[in-house]
Order: sequence, then C-alpha cells, then structure tokens
Amino acid sequence: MRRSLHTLASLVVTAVVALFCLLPLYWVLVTSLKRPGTEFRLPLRAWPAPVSWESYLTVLGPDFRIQHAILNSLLVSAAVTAGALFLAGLAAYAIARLRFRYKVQSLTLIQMAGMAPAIVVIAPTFVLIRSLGLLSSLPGLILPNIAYSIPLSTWLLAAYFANLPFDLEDAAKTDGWPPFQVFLRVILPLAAPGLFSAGVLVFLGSWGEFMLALTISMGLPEAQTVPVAILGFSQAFQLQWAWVSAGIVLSLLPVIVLVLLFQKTVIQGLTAGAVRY
Amino acid sequence: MAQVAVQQISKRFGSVTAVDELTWTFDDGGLTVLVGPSGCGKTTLLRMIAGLEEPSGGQVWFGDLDVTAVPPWERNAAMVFQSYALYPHMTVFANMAFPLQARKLKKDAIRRQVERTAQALGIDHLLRRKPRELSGGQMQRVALGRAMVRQPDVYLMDEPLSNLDAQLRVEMRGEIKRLQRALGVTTIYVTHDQAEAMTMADTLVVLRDGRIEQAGDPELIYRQPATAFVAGFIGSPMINFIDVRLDETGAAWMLGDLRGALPARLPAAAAGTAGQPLVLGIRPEDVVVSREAIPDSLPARAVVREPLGKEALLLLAADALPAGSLLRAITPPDLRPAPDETVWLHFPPARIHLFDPTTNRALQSTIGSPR
Repeated sequence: MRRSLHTLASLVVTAVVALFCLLPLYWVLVTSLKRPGTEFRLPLRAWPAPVSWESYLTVLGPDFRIQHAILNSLLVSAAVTAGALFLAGLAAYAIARLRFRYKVQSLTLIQMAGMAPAIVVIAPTFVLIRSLGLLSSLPGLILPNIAYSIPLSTWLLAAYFANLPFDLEDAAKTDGWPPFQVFLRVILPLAAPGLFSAGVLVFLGSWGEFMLALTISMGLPEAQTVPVAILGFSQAFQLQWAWVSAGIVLSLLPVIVLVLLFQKTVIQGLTAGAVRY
Repeated sequence: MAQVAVQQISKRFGSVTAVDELTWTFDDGGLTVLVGPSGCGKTTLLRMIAGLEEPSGGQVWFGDLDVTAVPPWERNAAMVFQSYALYPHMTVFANMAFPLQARKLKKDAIRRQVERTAQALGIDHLLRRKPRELSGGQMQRVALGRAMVRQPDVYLMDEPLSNLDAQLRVEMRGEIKRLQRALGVTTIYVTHDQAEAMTMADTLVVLRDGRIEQAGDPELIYRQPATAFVAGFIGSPMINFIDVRLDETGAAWMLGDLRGALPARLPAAAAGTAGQPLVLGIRPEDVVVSREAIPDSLPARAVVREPLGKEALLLLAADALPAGSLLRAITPPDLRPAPDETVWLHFPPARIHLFDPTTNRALQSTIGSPR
C-alpha cells in the first residue's frame, strides 16, 4: 500500500514536470499547424481544425529556406563539438593527469574566461572576427563558439579524467604501450561517457546560441543559423507566429533524432560517477 | 631473464628524498622482498625500476644494459599493482592479451599463451568476464596472469596482496612463491607487512628513509638485526627494548639490581666503557617467564594475558622499567599467572641484542648465534 502510494506520488510529480516542459512545445506545434493569421482566433482548441501545412511550405520555400539554416546549424554545432572536445580533451587530460607548474592556476584562468558574460566579449569577438575577414562565414561562427565552449567542457572532462585511476595508465605503459596508444586504448574508452556528456552540452549550447550568431551573420543568409533565421521571419513582413512555430518545430527535429540515437549513452554520461542503477 | 641492479639511485620530490643513493643487485631468478614502513621509498624504488618514475640520479640496469633512460613501454618489466589495475572496459581475456598485443604477437599465439597462463592460475573459466564481475581474489589472479602471460626480465609486484582478506592473502603468498619458483624470473616484491616479507623472501631488503637498513637472508636478519630499527620492524609481536647500562667491569649489563652477562659472542671491548648506556633488545619468545623466583631474573607483574591458542602473549610491568612501559613475552599456554601476580623474567645471554643508543646500531656483528 505504502509502496503503491509512493509510486503514484512519483508518477504525479513526473507528470507535472513533464507537462511543464512539454506544454509550450505542444502549443508551438499546434500554432504551427494553424493557418497564418488565425493563431489567436477564439475559442482556443486543443487541435487545429482544419490542419494547415501552409506555414511549413512558407518557411521551407524560396523566401526563407529554413532548411538552409538548419544545415548551417548542424555544421556549426558539429564542428564546434568536435573542436571543443578535442582541445578541451587535451587540456583536461594535461590538467588532470600530468605534473606541471601552475596547473591549478591554469585551470582557474580557463574557468575565469568562461565566467565572462557573452555580452561582455561580443564586441571584441566581433572586431577579432572582422580583422580575420571571417564575418558572415561559418568559420567565423565556429571559432568563437569553440572558444566559448572550452571552459565548461575542460572542467567537465578534467573532473572525469581525474577520477580514472592512475594505475591503469601505468599498467598499460608497463604492458608495453606508448603514451598515445595508452590514451587511445585505455583513457579514451574509459572517458567515453564523459566525452559524450560534455559533447551533448556543447552541441546544444551552440545549437541554441543566438547573440554571436546574429552578430557574425551580419544579416546574410549564408551564415545564418536557425535562431537567427527564425528572427528573420518576424522582421520580413509582420510577426507571423505560425511561421515562427513551424521554424521552431523543424529546427527541433534534428536534435530529437540525435537524442533518440544516443539516448542511452547520454544518460550514462550524465550519471557517470554517480550511483549505479 | 636478467640481473636487475640499481646503482646510487635517488629520487627527490621537492625537498623530500624518497630514495637516497641506493645501490643493490637483485638475485637473478630469485624473489627479493623490499620491506619497510610507509614512506621508506620502497614503492618509489620499484616504480623507478619499472620506468614509471624518473630517478633524480643514478642508474637502473637490466643485465648489462643501462635502462635508466628507457621508457617503461620499452623495458621488459611486468608489474602487478596493489589496485590490480585491470582495464575495466576489457574482458579478462583482453586484459591478459593486452601486453602480448603490444608485442605484436599473432592472434593464435596470443590465444594459446593467454589460455595456458589462465589454466595455470585456475582462471580459464573467467576469460569472458569483465573485471567488475570478479571477486577480489579472482581479480588478483587476473592481475598476476597479465604479468605472467609474457616472459619479462623482471616481475615487479607492488603490495599485490594487501587488498585481500587475511586467509586468501596467506594462500596467495604460497601460490606466488610457487609460481615464481617455477618460472624462475627475477622478482621484486614490495610489502609493508613484515610477516609477508619474512615468509616470501629469498632475499629480504629492509628500507628506511630511502636507504637500505639491512639486507640478506630473512632468517639471518631476524636473528641478527643490524640496527634497532630492523629489530623493531621485523618480528611480531615486536621485540622488547629496555634501557640498560654497562656495569663498572664493562662485562655485564645492569638494569636496577639485575645484572646480566653479555652475549658470549660479543667481545668484551665491543661494548664500550663502564657505565655507558645501552639498549637491550629481546624478542618476546626469548623471554623466559617463571612463576617462582629464579636467579638472574627481573621481578615483574603480569598485566594482561592474550591467549593466542598454541601460546599466549603476556604483557608485563616491572618496577625497574619506566612507568607505563610494558614488556611482551610469549609463554606456553599452561602458564597462567593471575592478574598482578609477580613473575620472574630471565633474559638468556645468548638471545639478547645490544644496541648503541646514539647510533642505534647493534654492538656486534656476530657469526650465527645459536638458536
């Protein structure tokens, strides 16, 4: 009896939290299926009748080409994830495993860089990217995003590497494997869950990043990511919530697919080092 | 197989000297045990031989090859770690095959060798399991197997048994010694457990503060400790240390009213001048305890009696000793003094050790005292 009460309570709490997260998404979906101009028509219905695909056709059409922005977002996020994990991985490995002077200080320095609010660094970043001639280009977006992602992922990975026993590395060395092979064959496989969780955070962070993307793209569609492209819907003629909603739904699809693909590994990574379940 | 040697090897960590210009040649094909309290440098020495720690000075030799600058992955040393250090993402088979893969052996050669070693260790039924599915004893055997699967110049074992329960530890001591004999590979074994060191060593090396305090046959070290430190470290229950002084003749030691002859093996001149303070050491099993007064004995009070089964450990207080200090004596099980009963202790001259309190060194270097 107690047990089933307990189960019921946790079910209710979970349902409330899930509703809290999903209701806005549901509303976005409903809105995207309404005919533009009828978004606020009363009475509100749980499901639009008739369902209209007009907004989707519009945002995918020649005026907006949201698929182009989605591709840009995918490219940027993937490149940022790969670049940040590689650099942060090396830095984290050094901080967690190697002996050198000013180790703590260097980690502190990296952390301090990560604490500056994005708005503070946006102007110097813009000047820097302009000097490099990378405005309105994907590399101009990728490079600073990598830099922004490094502090958090270094910190996450360093914590993860530090928990791997040193003996394993020493054992692999006395077993006859040189350091880079040890890194590949022992450290990386053991750190895979940590790399994954850091990777997910970096990917989602750069997927949703708006301010830098807006600044660097300079209004040109070549370098627009999804958030910037969606902003464009509201400026073009008038604020069409149905278009905006359709854009949001489309931009969510790749992320949902990725999460479904890697769900198991992601959960493993986020709970690594915590209790087993 | 090779003769492993270290020459004037040192390791400093900042201002701490872990190993201090230590020179030693390990028996070719023998089992040498490095023993000492924590912080004596034994593990650091082992790690320098493995190449995992870079010496601050001195050399490491494998045979007539100076390997000091050779990285660990190019030295042919197999190491067993206290934590076992099994790769958690690999099966037992993959763990044992790992050093062979590094040597670029063919697949079927690896399979054959792993299976043969696993059989010898009785773990062939575990080859498909992951380390987390093994018990402590099984993990220990896999760690041994990973070292024994190849033919290294030397086995390095860093407290491999300290994570096992007492019974399994005793069993594995014998097992390791048997395997080591059969393989005949030079083995260097680190432990802080003096009983493990005594039972396993062909040669015992007692370390203290990064230096060799005494080295040699374990039983000889037990019988003739060169310093008070070795006498105190080797042997359980611990040896008794008693402050005494030489009498006016210089031929006997004095403790209060008690006078005792110097060991016959000790030349009279070796003890020093009349009245000089000395430290007398006598092992608990060498103390003769009597419930009746006997000549040349020290009256003492039984404080605690700890039965050990085949014998008992008696803790004793005596007026001639500083307050609070207790003597340990091993007594036959039928000797059962009442609490606070007065008993008499006799220290047979042949069984006593005398140390210089300033240098802590034994006064004599005798040849085989009779036991």
